[in-house]
Amino acid sequence: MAEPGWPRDSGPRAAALRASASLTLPFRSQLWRGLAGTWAGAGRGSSLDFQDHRAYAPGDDPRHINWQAYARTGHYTMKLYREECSPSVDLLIDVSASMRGSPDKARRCLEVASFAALCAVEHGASLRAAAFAGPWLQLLGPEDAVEGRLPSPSAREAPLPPAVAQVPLRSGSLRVLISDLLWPGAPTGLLTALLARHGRAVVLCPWARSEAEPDWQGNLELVCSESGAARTQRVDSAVLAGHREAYARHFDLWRLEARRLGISLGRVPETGELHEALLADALPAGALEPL
Amino acid sequence: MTFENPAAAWALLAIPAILAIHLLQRRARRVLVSTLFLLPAQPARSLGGRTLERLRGSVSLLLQLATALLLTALLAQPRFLRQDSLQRVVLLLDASASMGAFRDEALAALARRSAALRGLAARSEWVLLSTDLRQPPLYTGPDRSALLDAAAGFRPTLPTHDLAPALELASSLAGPDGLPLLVTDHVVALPAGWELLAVGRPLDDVGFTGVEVEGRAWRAVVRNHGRSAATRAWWIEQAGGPGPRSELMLAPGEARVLSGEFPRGLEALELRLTPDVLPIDDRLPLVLSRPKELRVAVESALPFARHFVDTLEAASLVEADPDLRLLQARPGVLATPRGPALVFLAAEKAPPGPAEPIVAEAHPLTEGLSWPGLIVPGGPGFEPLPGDRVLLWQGDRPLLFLRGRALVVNFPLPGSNAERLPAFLLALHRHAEAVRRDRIAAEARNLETGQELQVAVAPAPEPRLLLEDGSAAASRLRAPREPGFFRVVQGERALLTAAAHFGDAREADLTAAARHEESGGPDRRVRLRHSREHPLAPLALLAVAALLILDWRRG
Repeated sequence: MAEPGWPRDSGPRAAALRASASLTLPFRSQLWRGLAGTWAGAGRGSSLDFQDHRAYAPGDDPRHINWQAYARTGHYTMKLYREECSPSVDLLIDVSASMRGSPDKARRCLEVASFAALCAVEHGASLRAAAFAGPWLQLLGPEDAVEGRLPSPSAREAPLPPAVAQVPLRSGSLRVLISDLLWPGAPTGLLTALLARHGRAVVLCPWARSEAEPDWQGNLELVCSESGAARTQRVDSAVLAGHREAYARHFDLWRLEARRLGISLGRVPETGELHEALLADALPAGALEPL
Repeated sequence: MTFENPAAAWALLAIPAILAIHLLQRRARRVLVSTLFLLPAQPARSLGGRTLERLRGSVSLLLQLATALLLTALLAQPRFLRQDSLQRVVLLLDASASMGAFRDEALAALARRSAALRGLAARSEWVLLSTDLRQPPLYTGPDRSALLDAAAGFRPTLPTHDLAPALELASSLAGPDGLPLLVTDHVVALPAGWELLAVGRPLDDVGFTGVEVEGRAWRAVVRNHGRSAATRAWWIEQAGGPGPRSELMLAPGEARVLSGEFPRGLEALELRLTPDVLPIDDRLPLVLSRPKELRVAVESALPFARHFVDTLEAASLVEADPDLRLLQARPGVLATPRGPALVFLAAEKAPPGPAEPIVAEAHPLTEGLSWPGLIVPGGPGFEPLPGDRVLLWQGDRPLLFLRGRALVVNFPLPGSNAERLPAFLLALHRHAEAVRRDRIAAEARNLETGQELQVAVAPAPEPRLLLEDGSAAASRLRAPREPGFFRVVQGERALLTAAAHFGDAREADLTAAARHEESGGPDRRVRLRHSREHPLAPLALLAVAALLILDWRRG
């Protein structure tokens, strides 16, 4: 059975543009460190945004003395201002075969990747994109991510979790993971790796209804798109019920662990407009923020 | 364990059918999925189709196979022998000489049938008899091998005989629960409860059917009993060895007379035919007939007396020490004569007596004789005594009676037609022959095999019957069962020199011989009596129903 490829005529950028007109990545909710830019940094800087007070010490800039506080208290205190710096976004895009399992899901993956890249670019963020499939990794240019030009690796490997440790994550960056999260194992390892080096992470998880609620019946030869492994088995209502339960448990586990680590996880359905799909869960989950 | 309905094994054909159904599957639809780890594994289920696929072990397949096996076992009706079961099997062998042509077939059939019967009960009691009731049972016991050994030593030599007495004896020995079985060479109607084992088949036989020896001349009849022409060689065997062979060609059913004379100085010879399927009639031993001489003294003036002596075979007139005296006495008191005698009434011719019916008493001397034409004159006769045995009456007048060893004619011969009445002459002849038989003297006769012998012997020593090989037969009361020469001796004295030949031509006709084996008829009845069904058999049906329901529910 041939591996599914990325649709070439879907035009993800258009959908991403429409979505980015009202939604963006959660830049405001993070204190940034890094190059001078227009976002409030985590450090103390020379921007006009007041951050905090401290007692006057000889040698401080008298322009920053809080005269109102002196008038009230008779003591000299200094105003501290946030540093203004440019945000950095590390975009990790899962390009394994399961992400291309159906045309709608593949299109949605491209759109979400394009949206995330576009948001980063539009807001002056420093974008670094990488495509991965299990241990396989390829760095992408920002334009490739925006335009949805993603690779389709052919390696038939077991759906191992992505080797995030291999990805050169920048300190203090916003890590955006775009993946369907369909691999066995506990999510803790990957989610913890996403937060390395003082980073913050959001997970955008495209999903297909055919994965959550398949309509299989009878004797089937089920072929895994990731590994090519085939299993011939009978599927009946009991089996489907078991699958639904396992599927729900799997993503409940991911949500719980993500919440525990302070990572926002939003699931993005394959159907409908991208903007509507992002509003369904990603925005309420905090993975995105309105403009 | 046995099966009452072995045909139920055909139900096992359901097993390959079930396997075929499970082998032929619908091709599984191929579906590309994102991942398999969330899907519970479930074995594929057999669904009918046209594609041959690897047989999948499944609970449904096992249930269906178990149902087929259990149903087959139920239908086969297994039964288990009762350990205390005992059956009595009475095997009756037809001793007719014709069975000699089917001896091997009879032994083989007996071995087969006894092997089959052996399994009907835990223990078997065998009784082997022959239809020759003069013989003791050939075998009684539990050992089948000994039974077959005894059957192998059996020699059928009897002429045609009634099987009814043997059947009755065998039935009584078998009892109501026993198994009687007749081994014969043709199909016969048997009483209820009997099993027939006919081992014959139509065969052609040529053999001697009869012989006559008169003086030194002999005449023998050879007959082709078969349905096709036959060629045989025949020759004479005598003391000097076999003579030249002559060819005999006989059409179907044809009889040919062979004749010849005893060579001078030779008193025994044997006619031989080329041996065939029935060897008993291929030998015809002959001896020169020499009846015992009867010494007769005639003490009567009646002309009839001397005429009568002339009619006796091997009789000579003597003056002294006779074996038989012919006397004459006047009416009145008659003294009992010494020794065997024929006494005539010396009386004048008288007018005929009252025309009253003539009645004969049952006696060997008068058996089968017809007396109504007898005309006897009246007049006085001998006065009867209390010890007289009257043989013939006319009213209350005794015409013929025995007094001691004398036969008394109690009416005057002149004036009667007795001399011309065959019954009268035969009665007198019988008396004379009875005297001859009681005489202890040497004789030579040609007899039939198994014929009853009446040889007068002295009180001692014990007489013996010696066969041609010099051995003594078990009984001297009958001729040997197989053709050959034999003697009856007492001490050193030979009383009878004889040759026995097989004389029943009916037994030589094997064209009506047939084969018939009944199997299974009594077997089932006996098997049911000596066996029981498994105690859990009734539950098996419930188990079949449960398996069917379980498989249906799983579907």
